[in-house]
Amino acid sequence: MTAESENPKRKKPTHDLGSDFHSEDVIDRPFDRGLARRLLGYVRPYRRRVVVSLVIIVLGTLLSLIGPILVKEAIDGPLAIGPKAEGAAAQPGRAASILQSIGEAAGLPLPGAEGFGLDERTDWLILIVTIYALMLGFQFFLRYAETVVMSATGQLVMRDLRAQLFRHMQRQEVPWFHRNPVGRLVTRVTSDVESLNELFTSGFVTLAGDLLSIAGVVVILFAYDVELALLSLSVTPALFGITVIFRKMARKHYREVRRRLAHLNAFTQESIVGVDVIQVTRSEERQAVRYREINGTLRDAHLRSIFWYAIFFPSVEILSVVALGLVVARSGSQIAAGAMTFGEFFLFWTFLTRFFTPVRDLAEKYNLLQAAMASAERVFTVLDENSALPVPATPKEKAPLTGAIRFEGVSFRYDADTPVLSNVDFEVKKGETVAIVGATGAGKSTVVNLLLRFYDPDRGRVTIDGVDLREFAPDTHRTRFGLVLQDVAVLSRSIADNIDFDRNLGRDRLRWAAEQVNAGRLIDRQPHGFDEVMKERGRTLSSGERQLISFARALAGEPEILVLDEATASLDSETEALIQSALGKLTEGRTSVIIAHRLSTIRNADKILVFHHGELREVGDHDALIAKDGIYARLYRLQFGLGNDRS
Amino acid sequence: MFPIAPFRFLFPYLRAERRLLAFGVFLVFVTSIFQVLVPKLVGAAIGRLESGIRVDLVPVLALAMIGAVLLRGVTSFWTRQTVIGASRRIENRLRNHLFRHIEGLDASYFSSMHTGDLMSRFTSDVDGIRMVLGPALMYAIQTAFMIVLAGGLMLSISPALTLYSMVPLALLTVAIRVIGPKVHRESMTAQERLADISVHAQENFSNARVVRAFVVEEQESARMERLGEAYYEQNMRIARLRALSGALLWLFGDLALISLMGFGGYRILIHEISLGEFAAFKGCQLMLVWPMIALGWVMNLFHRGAASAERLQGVLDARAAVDDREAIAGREILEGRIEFDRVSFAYDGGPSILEGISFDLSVGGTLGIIGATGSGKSTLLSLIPRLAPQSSGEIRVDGERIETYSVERLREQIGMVNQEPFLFSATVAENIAFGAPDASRDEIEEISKIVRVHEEIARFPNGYDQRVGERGITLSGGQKQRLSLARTLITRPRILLLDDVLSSVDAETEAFILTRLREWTADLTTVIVSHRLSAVRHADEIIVLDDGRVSARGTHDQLMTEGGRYAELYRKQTLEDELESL
Repeated sequence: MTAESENPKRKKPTHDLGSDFHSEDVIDRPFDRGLARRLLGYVRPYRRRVVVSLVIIVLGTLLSLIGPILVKEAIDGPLAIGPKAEGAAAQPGRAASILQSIGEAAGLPLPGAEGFGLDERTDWLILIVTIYALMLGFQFFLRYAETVVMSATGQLVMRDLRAQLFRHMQRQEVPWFHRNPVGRLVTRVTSDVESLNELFTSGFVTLAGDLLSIAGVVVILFAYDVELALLSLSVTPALFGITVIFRKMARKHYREVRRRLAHLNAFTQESIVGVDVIQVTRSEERQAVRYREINGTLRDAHLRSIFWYAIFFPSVEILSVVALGLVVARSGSQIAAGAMTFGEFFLFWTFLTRFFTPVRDLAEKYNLLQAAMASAERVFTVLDENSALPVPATPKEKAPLTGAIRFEGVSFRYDADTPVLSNVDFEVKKGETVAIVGATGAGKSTVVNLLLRFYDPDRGRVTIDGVDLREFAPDTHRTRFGLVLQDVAVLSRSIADNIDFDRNLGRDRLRWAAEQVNAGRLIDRQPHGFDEVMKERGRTLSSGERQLISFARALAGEPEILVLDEATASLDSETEALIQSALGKLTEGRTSVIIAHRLSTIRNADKILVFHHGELREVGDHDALIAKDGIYARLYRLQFGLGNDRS
Repeated sequence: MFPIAPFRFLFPYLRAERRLLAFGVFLVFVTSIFQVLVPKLVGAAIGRLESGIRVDLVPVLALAMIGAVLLRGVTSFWTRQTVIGASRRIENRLRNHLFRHIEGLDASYFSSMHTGDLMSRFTSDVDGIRMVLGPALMYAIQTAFMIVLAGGLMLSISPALTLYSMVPLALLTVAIRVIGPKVHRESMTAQERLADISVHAQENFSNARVVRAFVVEEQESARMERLGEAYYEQNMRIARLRALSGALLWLFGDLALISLMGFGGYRILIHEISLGEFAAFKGCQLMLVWPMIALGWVMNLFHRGAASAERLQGVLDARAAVDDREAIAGREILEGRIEFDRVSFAYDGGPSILEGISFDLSVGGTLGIIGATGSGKSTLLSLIPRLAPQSSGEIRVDGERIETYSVERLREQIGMVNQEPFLFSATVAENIAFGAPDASRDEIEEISKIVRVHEEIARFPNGYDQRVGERGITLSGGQKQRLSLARTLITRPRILLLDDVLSSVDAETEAFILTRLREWTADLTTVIVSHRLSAVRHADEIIVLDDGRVSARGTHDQLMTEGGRYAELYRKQTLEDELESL
């Protein structure tokens, strides 16, 4: 909470930025032409829809202008009574003459004609009401279509952008995922793309509709009476002024509210997670006081923003009534003088209200636009990053392994300070099973990372049959391998899909693989068998069972080389036995590199590589290494030699 | 239409704001009167013009109209300030209350609730209630007044016409009421579809290595596209509902106008009403369109709010399993002797986690507890400060049952440090002094030296004022552990409970800290749970827990001679240390 810690100049550790999502939420961005153009590029495939929705909007706006005109004609036509009525009907306007020809076609006598009595007037009224009703029906469908087409456009753009973004992320390499916290990436794919949808659905196209509606109203008002139109629209500058001020203030306060709300939520969450600390230190009361403080500032921010809302809506209302009052005051003398009809008065009245609503809405939309711009920028930033491995100009063809995989003088570090592997040399011959042993942090997993080319070595090289891995295309290289990681990736899909892992291997192959690794019984036990959908991270399975699933996944692809990070988790003896025999089948006749924890695996390995502090310290088979009485011998005694040998 | 019962527990909050609320209702009433005045005045002006009598009054009427709206503007500004303001204050108090309540609940409650669920009580549920008490209430009252006033005016002009034009408006309310919940339901499904996308992204990104190893990036993208498609379709379902309700709103609103034109027009023709009355009628009708829409919306808010209210009530009804019912006033821990007498523990209906634990720990003594993960070590510790109540048996401190101390007095003398250190997003100093806000900087530094973290803190860019956690620097596991130990020590407890607190600290530092601790307070009664035997080696008694039962006990030497699990573990750890030093 100190001022210094807010200092932007201080270099923060990069891995810390990911947790800073609260502040990221609040950032808005002013409208940016370049960004907007790029966004519009996503609309291009759907330009026909956009055209359709524009046509619908134009039609709908025009239709909605006809209604009040009909009311006017009704009042000035059949409903007109009293001395001024005849005068008005004598010189019909354009709308009235169209209406009259419709009436004639329907066989109705013209107003003012001989014997134009109550019945005739009623017929005319019915005609106008019917036209109005028909129009309304048509408008109903237009309105419906407008919303549907517009939403569809926004949704389609969002769908495409999300797919593109995700596809782009799939092209990134492992180090990129290490740099970018998962939570942040998920936000890009979900809520950032989501807020762009708003931009399309209630942004661009509605904006057009609003502007069109305003323009239509202005044109009609001027067409009927220029002076009155000028008079009634004289409040417009004030309206814009108020709207601009409101927009600015509302935004300012809205951001303040969001900032404080984020703070309050963070505090609440922390207090829930750390509730035992609070209770044990008896800080409940103090913590509650702090909560009240933060909550109080939120309330005050809310109260301040209410003020602006409370003042804005009545202000717009007052302006609209001032305009109406001006119209009434002026039309009074006009009507009295016979220069204006009652119908025209009604027309102005109705259109004035139509004018104010869209003007008021425009202000809200600007805020939406800014939030969306910020999201767009974040999404595009990701799209502009590229960490894909360089593909050699003429990648080597992948040929089946005949000789050996070799690490030649390999050194590697993830960050500048800590070497992880130093000058490592070893080879794995075709068909050999090699076990890698060592304490935590000895560099075992890094060997796997280099082997699959998630990373490239800083010095030295990794070769397959003498070819540097960097000479293959990464994809083709990786298809050689079947990988089983210690932290088993059981996804929330069906068991079948988990084994298949989107490779479309076919049900038979999946079943075969499952049977081979002894997962058959586990699967039969599930209520839906193969189609049982797994819970998040497979938490309904034991760790051993999860291991079996990932064995099946690796085997189903019948990989040339098996790479396996064996789990250390304690297993019940039954699962243990299942895994042992599954492992046997997996490695049989297959080149295998295993980060081994189980004694049986290590014993059965053709070769054991002992890593210690990033160096390859001992190489040999079990008996040779025991005889040597070095690190391996100690490790062995530590894990298995204490009367607790499970094998 | 408006479920009230679930909101009953909120009455006290409403009562606290009753003056403001009453004033708000009054303001709404005045606002409505001014509002209805406008069409009335327009009607009067037209009436003048129509009849040609006192046409000179028309500008005056226009002025009166503007006057009425100005006044209405003032009162409606005031209404918003009052009613919405009151609802914000109620929201604020409700949250405070909720927070204080949750703080008092015990471990078993938190283990049964997800943090996310609790968070949504504070966010969406409180908000749902505020929407009812603020906008919904305001609009409900406003609608009622408007219906009475505008409806009254309309009735006075023509009862039949009122009936005809109100039917479409009533249909409007019904439409909102019917479609609203559907939209809500479909939106919930859309949220699930979005969650699918989120889960897929999450799983894919967390398993970036596996995805690349199996070269299924393309297929993963295709899967994402399928999920995106499903989400798109769900959103379109909502869009169609929204489109329907939007189009219906216009339709019914305009139908009301048409019916007025037809039926009202006819009445003008037969001279039943005048054009002026027609205008006034039209004005009223326009004025009712929004309140009738609001009515449907308000009903939906009430229903959603009721669900939130029930969930909140559920939290507020939860009672801590530990209370001060048996507490004897003024009883305090003076020495810190601990006795366990056949203590067992199980969560409600669950399997027993601790079974028949007994021990006797004298003042200044140290008890060591070892055992595998899940053997009940942490639970045992949490029983002493009564974070959870034991199921049977007795725990005594200074010879008195712990239930006879008030929770406050009991915890005052107990310092407990958790296995997973939790630090707040605050400065280092604030974190250390969390339980003793009055502690001076000297004290904080003194304690930091005992737990050997002072030098590291001094190297932070802002020293003791360095922010940690979110928006601050990230600490290592060992630093967090030592800071959380310091946080406990600064409260100077008589009893110290350490739950494997130095697991991320190297053995040498651990030994240093434990020695300094003994020097610092000779009569500190300590219970140490540890994976590392060196931490409990010097304890007066060591208990080996196995599946909630004591499987062996004695001093280090006794247990070593016995040669069971303890001795085996000890050899293993010695070997590990040896290996580390190679």
